[in-house]
Formats: sequence, structure tokens, C-alpha cells
Amino acid sequence: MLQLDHVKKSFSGRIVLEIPSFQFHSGIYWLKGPNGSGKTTLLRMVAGLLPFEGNIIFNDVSLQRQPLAYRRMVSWAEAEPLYPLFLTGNELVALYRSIRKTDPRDVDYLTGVLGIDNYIDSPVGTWSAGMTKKVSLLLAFIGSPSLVLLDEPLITLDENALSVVSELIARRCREMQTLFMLSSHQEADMSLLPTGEEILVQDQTLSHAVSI
Amino acid sequence: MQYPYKLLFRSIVRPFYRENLSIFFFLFILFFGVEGEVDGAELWQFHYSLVQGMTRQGGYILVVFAAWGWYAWKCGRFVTGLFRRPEYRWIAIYNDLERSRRFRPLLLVSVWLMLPVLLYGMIVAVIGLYEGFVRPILLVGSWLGMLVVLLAGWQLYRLGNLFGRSTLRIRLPFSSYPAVLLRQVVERQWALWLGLKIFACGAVAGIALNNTDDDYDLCFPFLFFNFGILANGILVYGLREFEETYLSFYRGAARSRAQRLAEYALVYFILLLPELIAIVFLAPVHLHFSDGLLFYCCAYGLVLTMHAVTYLRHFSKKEYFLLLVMIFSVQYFFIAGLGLAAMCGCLLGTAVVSFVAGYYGYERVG
Repeated sequence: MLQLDHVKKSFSGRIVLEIPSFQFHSGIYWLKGPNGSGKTTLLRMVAGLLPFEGNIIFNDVSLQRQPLAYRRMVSWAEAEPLYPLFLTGNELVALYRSIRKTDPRDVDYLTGVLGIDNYIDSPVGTWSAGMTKKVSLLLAFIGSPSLVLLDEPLITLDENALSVVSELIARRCREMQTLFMLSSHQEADMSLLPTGEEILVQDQTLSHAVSI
Repeated sequence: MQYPYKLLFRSIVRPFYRENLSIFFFLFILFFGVEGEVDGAELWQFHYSLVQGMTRQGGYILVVFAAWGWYAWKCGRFVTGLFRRPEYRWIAIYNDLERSRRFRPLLLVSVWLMLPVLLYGMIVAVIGLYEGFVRPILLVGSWLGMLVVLLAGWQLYRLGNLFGRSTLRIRLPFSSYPAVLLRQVVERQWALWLGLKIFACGAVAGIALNNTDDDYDLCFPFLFFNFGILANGILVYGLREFEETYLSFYRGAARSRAQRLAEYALVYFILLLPELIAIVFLAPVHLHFSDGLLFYCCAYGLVLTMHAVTYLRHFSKKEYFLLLVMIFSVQYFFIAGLGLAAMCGCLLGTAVVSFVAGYYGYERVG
């Protein structure tokens, strides 16, 4: 379970998020809200990338007090990922695997289903946005984290990849009880994962919406 | 100004001077701020004798030509980097123009990019003419003219091959975070790194070689050496910018602060190896072992501090270089009174405290 406790985030004195208390149980959560409502900020805070006031606790591990143990359980993929242009996909995977222990067969499986295997040894600088996006999703899935945060996970993906990623998310959630927090603007994205619960990010806080 | 040129000026020349402001500042201080009086010579006389040396000695002029060539090459690399950015894709429309209409504005852009060198070249020419050295002046003019034309030609080539891959590709056989940072230096900042090493090692060696048992001076070699180390701030800032742009995910990785600090410490240890080697070569004849150790520890502490303070808050380039000037000023107190051992301890302590306190709390705003 992910618990947000008196979480507050401001940028240059302007409060972006102020969440007294909110809980996410295992499952898939779609964060919805207009541009600038704080979806990406919330995801980045939960990923431990942004400082904030208050506390975020996942499975009884506090991000503030046990930053290392917390980070072991969490993975994150950006909406528009950027990686060093000179690195190859394999080098990125090796870097991630040096941080998060994982079975090489899992990586082979993921590169195969995502259709990355034919370009994974080429440098990032030669990839399209969709190719980079697929690799960022692969990296987020490496090591079977318990909490996966994906910002706009389905943008720039082709139709085949859309269904593969949706299936991966659903299966991880079903078999490993992984908690997924995803953000999206598109209704079509949410229809690919009909079991997801919709969370509204608006008026600087979170609220449950009707289940989709 | 014609519109194609005006647009290129704003897209290439302005970003170039904005990005390299720190290097020009460093060079300006190096040439006009540090030396004060050298062997009794006034500042003007010092530069005058430098230019005289350039026009009289063939070997010296070759070194200067190599430095100017290096500068032109750096300009070319900068333009190549700009053309690769997604926000510069529009520049492909220039390929619809005839070759000569593409070349002319690029030639003007090259003149602007080479302006600092051209101005210095003009000073050399005036002094050379005054001294009656016509042949070296013709050489200087031809070399600079060729560099400007070559730079324009390179830009023209890159414009026609916007999506072509770089010919230089270096792979290191391991993937760890320090290796990624070092690769960034190898692939994108090696010329800067090399320049900094040549200066720091050259300064310490050139001055400390005069030291003998009877006439042993510590302050003057350290002052120049330290200034060369401080100039590594340009490299540090570039690395931090690279990290924040391309490696921001790593902040969320399961690595303790101690591990992260150790990774940065390893990176800077490797980047400062030439200074360590220079000090080892100078010891014990020209630099006592204990002094050499203090030199290196101060250098290492300074570089780690320059890195660690960037986590306390986001500094613009201008703010960061003002901070470096402040650090330099504080160092004077240590040199004047407290001593190098105290400076070393203070720098290492500041680095560790700044890193531990700032790392998780850092965010880049704006």
C-alpha cells in the first residue's frame, strides 16, 4: 500500500499539491487532470526525484526516513525520456541491472515482446521517440519492482506495443500484485486497462473518480 | 543584415557566447587578471613580449597556431552539437538555398565565432608590423583566414548532413554510473579537459621547476595550480548539466548517498590523475612530498566541493561562476594564514556536508 501523508509541494512559493492523506492499494491507478494540475509532479515525488514536505510510505517503508530501502521497490519511466545519446540500449540495461538485480532471462523476454531486440545495440542518438519510449518502459519493468510509476506510458507507441505494454501491466498487477500509477490525458489509453481506477488530480489535491 | 544571416547569428553565435562565457572569463582572468607583474614587467609589456616571442620564434608560433586551431575545432564541435538538437531541425530549410547563399552567412557566423582569436591576431599583426616582421604576420593572417573558411566549410557540411552520425565513437567496456560520466567527458568535453590539464600541470611544473633547496617557494606555484583546478568548475558544471538533462532517473535509483558520493569521488579522482602525475614527477626535488600531497588533496577537495555545492540549490551559470570566485577569495585567507592543510580539510568537509545535506533535497527549477 502506498500512503501519502500531509504531502505538500510548492514551486517558487506557489502550492502545486497539498494532500492531507491518500492511500493507493495494489492495482492500477490512472492519474487524470488538466495540464499543470500536478500529475507528473506527484509521480516524480513518489519516485523520490523531487523533494516535498510530508511523508510518502510504501509497504511501511518511508521515502524520507529509509530512502534506500524505498527506492529498491520503486521504478519510474518519464513521459518523454532522455538518455545520453552515446549510450546503447544494452549499456542502459547493464546500468540498470547494476542497480537492480534481475534475471537476464526476464530482460530477454521483455526486449523480445517489446520489439526492442533489433535496435538495442545501437546508440540512443539514432532512435525515434517511440523507440526510446519502449526502452524506458523496459527499464521500468526490470527487476520486478513493487511500485511502478509511468508518466504517459502509452504516448508515441505503435499499436502493437500499446497492446503489449497494456498486457504487461495487467499481468504484473495480477500475478505480482504490483501497484501501478499511470498518468494519461487520453480516454483511449484508459480503455486499454479497464481494471484501472481513476484518480483526479485537481484543485491541488487528489480525489477518487468513478471506476472505469 | 540579411534575414538568413540574422537567424543564424541568433541561433549559433548567441548560444555560443552564452555557453562559453565561463571559458572566456577564465581566459580573460588568466591573461589579464592573474599575472599582475611578472619579473617586474607591467601587464602591457608582458603581453607585448608574448607577441614578440610569437613573431620571432618559429616553435612558439606553431604552438599558438595549434591553440587557435583547437579553438576553431571547438567552435565546429559546438555547431555540430547544436545542429543535432531537436529544436534545431528547422535549420534544414537552409539546404534549399544555393550553396553560395548558404556559405556566405555561415562565413560571417564563423567570423563571429572566431572573433576573440581574430582580435588577438590583429594585435599580433599590429605589433609584428611595428617590429618589421612581415613574414610571420602573413602567416598569422593566412592561418586565421584558413581557419575561418574551414569552419564555415565544416558548418556547411554539417548542414548538408544533419542526421549523419559522428565519425568518432568510443566505447568503454563497462557500464556503471561513473563510466557514463567519464564517457561524457571523453565524447563531449575531452578538449576542454585536456586544456585544463595542460594549464594546471603546465603551471605547477613551469613554476615549481625553479624551486631548489635554497630557494623554495610554495605560494606562487600553488596559486597558479589552484587557479587551474578552479577552472575545472567549467567541466563540473557541464557534467552536472548533463546529469540533470540525461541522467535524472538515477536520483530515483537504489543507491545510498555514500555510494553516490563514492562514485563521484572516483570520477574526479580519474579526471585529476594528470595533476597527480605532475606532482609525483616534481617531488621531492622541486616540491616536497608533504607539499605535493597537500597540493593534490586541496585540488581534490576543491573539485569535490565545486561538484557538491551544486546540490544545495540550482545555480545559473553566472551564479555558479560567481560562487567559484567567492571560493577563490576564501582560499586566499587559507593561503595567507591558516595553511594548506586547513584548506584541504575544510574543502573535503564542505564537499561531504554539502552533498549529504543537498542531494535528496535538490530540484531544478526553471
